[in-house]
Amino acid sequence: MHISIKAQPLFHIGDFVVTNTLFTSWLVVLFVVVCAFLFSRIIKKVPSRIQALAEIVFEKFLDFMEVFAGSKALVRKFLPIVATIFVFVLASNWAGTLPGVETIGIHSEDHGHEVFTPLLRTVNSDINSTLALALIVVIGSHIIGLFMIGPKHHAGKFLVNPFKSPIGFFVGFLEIIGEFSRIVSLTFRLFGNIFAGSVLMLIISYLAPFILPIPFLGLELFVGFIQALVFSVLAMMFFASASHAHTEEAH
Amino acid sequence: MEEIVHALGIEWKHLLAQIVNFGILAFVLFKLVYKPLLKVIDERIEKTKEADLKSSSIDDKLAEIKELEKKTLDEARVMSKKILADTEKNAESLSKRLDEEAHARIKKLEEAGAKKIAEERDVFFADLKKQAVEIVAIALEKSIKENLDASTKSKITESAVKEVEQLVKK
Repeated sequence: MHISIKAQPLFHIGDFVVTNTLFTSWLVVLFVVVCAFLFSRIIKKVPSRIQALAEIVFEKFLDFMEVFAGSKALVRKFLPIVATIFVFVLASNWAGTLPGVETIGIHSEDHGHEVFTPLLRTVNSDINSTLALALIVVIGSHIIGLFMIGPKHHAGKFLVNPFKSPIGFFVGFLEIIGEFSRIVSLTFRLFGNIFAGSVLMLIISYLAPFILPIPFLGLELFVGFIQALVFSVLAMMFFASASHAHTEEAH
Repeated sequence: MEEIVHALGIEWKHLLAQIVNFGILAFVLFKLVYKPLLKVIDERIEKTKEADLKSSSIDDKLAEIKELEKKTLDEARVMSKKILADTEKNAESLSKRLDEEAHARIKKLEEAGAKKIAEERDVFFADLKKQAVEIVAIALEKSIKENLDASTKSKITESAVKEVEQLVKK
C-alpha cells in the first residue's frame, strides 16, 4: 500500500505532465458538461419531472445562499461561480467513491521499489485542485470588491493611514494576513478532509475489502456533500462581504 | 517555503490547468443550466405575480359588485320604506277624506230625511186638521140638526168653519 500526498503523473502532453487527479478532474468536468448539455435540451416552460426536481434544488440552493449573501440580487450575481464550486466539488468528491477510483492503476518500478499509480484519483486529494479553487474564491472576491465598491474603498479595507487611525492601520494589516489565511484555510480544509477520507477508504479496503467499507463509503458521500456546501457557502460569504464597503467608509 | 511547495506537489501549471478547468465548467453551466433555469423560474414568478394581480383585481371587482349590491339593496330598502310610509300617509288621508265625505253625505241624508219628515208631517197635520174640521163639522152639524133652528145652525156652522179655518191657517 502506497500513500502519496502528491498527485502521480500519468502521461505527458508535450512538456505538460498530466497527473491522475487532473485526468480525473477532466473526466468529472466532461461528465458534468455532458449532463448540463442533456439537461439544457429538456428545459421547457412546462417542466418534466427531472426539470421540476432540478428547479426545486436550484431554488432551495438560491434561498439557502441568500441567508449568507443577504440579498437575492447578490446571490444571482455570484451564482455562476458559487454554484459551480458546489457542483464541481460535489461531483469530484462523489466521483472519488466510485469503484475503480484509486484502485485501478499501473504497477511500475521506481528505484527498485514497486510503485502503484492509480489511473483515477479523487480530485480534491490533490492540493493543486483545492488551492486553485481557493485562489479563484479569494482573487475573485478582490475583483468583485474592486468593481462593486471601487478601488479606493476596496483598498481602504487593507491600507489605512497609521497617523490618521493607528487601530485602522493594524486592522488593515490583520485583514491582509486574513486574506492569506483564507487561502490556506480553504485549501487545507477541503484537501485535508478529502485526502483523509481517501486514505481512510484505502486502509479500510485493504484491511477488509467487503461489507466494512460500505458505512465509510456513506460517510465519504456525506463528507463530500458537506465540504462542497461549506466551500460554496464560504465563497458566497467572501464575495458578499467584498461587495460591501466598510461601515465607516460607506458613511 | 520551496520545500513545502515541493512536498505538497504544488505546481503552477497544474494550478492553472485546474483554474481553466473550473472556468470552462462555470461557463458551460452558466450557459446551459443556470441561465435557462433562472429564466424559467423568473418567468414562472412573473406569471404568478400576474395571476396574483389578476386575482386581486377580480377580488376588487367582486368587492365592488358586492358593495354595489349592498348599496342597491340599501337604496331599495330606503325606497320601499318611503313608499310604505307614503302609502300609509295616503291611505290615512284617503280614509280621512272618505270618512269626511261619508259624514257629509250622512249629514246631507239626515238633513234631507229631516226635511222630508217635516214636509210629510206638515202634510199629515194638514190632512189631520182637514179631517178634524170635517169631523167637527159633521159632529156639529149632527148636533145642531137635532137641537137648533136653521139660522142658528148656519151661524154656528159659519163661526165653527171660521174657527177651523183660523186653526188651519195657524
